[in-house]
Amino acid sequence: VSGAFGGHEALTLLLAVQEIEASATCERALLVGFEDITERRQMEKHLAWYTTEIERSNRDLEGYAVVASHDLQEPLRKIRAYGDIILSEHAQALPAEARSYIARMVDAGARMQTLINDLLGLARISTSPARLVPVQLSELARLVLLDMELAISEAGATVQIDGLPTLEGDALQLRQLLQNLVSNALKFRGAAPPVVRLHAEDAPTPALPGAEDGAPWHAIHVTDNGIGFDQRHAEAIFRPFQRLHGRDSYPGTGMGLAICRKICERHFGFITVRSALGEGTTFTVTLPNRALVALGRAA
Amino acid sequence: MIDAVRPITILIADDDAEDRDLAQRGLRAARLDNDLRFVSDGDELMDYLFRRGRYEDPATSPRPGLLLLDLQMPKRDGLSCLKELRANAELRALPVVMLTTSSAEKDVFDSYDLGVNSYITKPVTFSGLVDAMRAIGHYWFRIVELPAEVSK
Repeated sequence: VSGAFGGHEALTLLLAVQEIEASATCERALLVGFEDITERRQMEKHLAWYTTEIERSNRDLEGYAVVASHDLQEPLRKIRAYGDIILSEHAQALPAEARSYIARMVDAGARMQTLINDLLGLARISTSPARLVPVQLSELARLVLLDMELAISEAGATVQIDGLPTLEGDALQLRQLLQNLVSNALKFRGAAPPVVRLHAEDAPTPALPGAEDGAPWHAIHVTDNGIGFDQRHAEAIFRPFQRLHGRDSYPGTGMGLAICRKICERHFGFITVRSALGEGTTFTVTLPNRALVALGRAA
Repeated sequence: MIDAVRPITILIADDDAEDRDLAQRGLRAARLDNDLRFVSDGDELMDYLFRRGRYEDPATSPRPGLLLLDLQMPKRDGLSCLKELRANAELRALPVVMLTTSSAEKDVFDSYDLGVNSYITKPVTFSGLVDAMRAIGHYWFRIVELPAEVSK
């Protein structure tokens, strides 16, 4: 009930009516209770507005990232192309030292290109609409392993898939998620041949705003026997461009796990990691079985 | 090797002077530079194709055998030009290759939707550009059959 009540400003009251057992003195009795929920309603409204506002501003930012990385490529492409031309057509005219400096500039340009592409990849996940359809994760994982056949055999790795669930998600994004996690497991391998295991279990409803009690959630684990890392870096490794190793020892821009986290967020879930130096790593992806239903967002 | 008796006109529509220069160098390295023409915006492109203004004389403005088209151009963008020339009976068979920096899904989709023949993201290295030009030339001037009015 909303309205102005005797001298107060507009209030929202929760009205509960219950019939109570008749007694000797009266035939029918009703118990009527009022609760002032004005403040709660205002909080909810404010929170909803705030959430929409944050989502909008994130989308804006990511839209800018797409445009910016696109515009950044334009001059970079020319730096590289004219550098290539100098090296291929005028190399003899240059002293060896000058040639080597230009070669370094061209290399640095190539590296920057990779950084921009990866940033663009991250921004695109946030700006392209996630298409939520039922996805068989075991089948998806099988396809990922097929794609990675060469890398897996070169690493001498064993990758095992154990009963992954079917859940609602964007097949392309989930595929990238699994691929990034498996390829990380291969990249950061130790001396022993890599053993990677993908398995899942039911997860309790997480304490997320709006999460409906009892809706099914899954925890998907990707476990490896690789070099691991100190658990205190567990949060940092999901940040864009974050690396724990030098570029020379392990290639890559440090964007893979940031993309994984973004994909999980786009599926209303989250990703965590357990690791210890020299003792392998387990990434856990926690996702709702039906994202929109689990978070009360179904249309 | 290009047919010496029949120089093939390649028209390049790009608003960026350096990109026009790189395209020319790329086509030269791929030995496809025997008759290159350049326009630097959408209006100029349409004037060329429809032989208006300073492109009136067919002798100095020959019909291109291939159009390399940039997406973002001032005055009139590549998609709008593509749409108009695909609606024109004389020009609809002209091979058009998008050569652009954009790899956005929407740009790719819209280009094919409007009837582009190929969509190429500008290669980031010069050797990549030469390879692309060589492949384009080989495909359009050696492999495929085109209707007579286009190949003339």
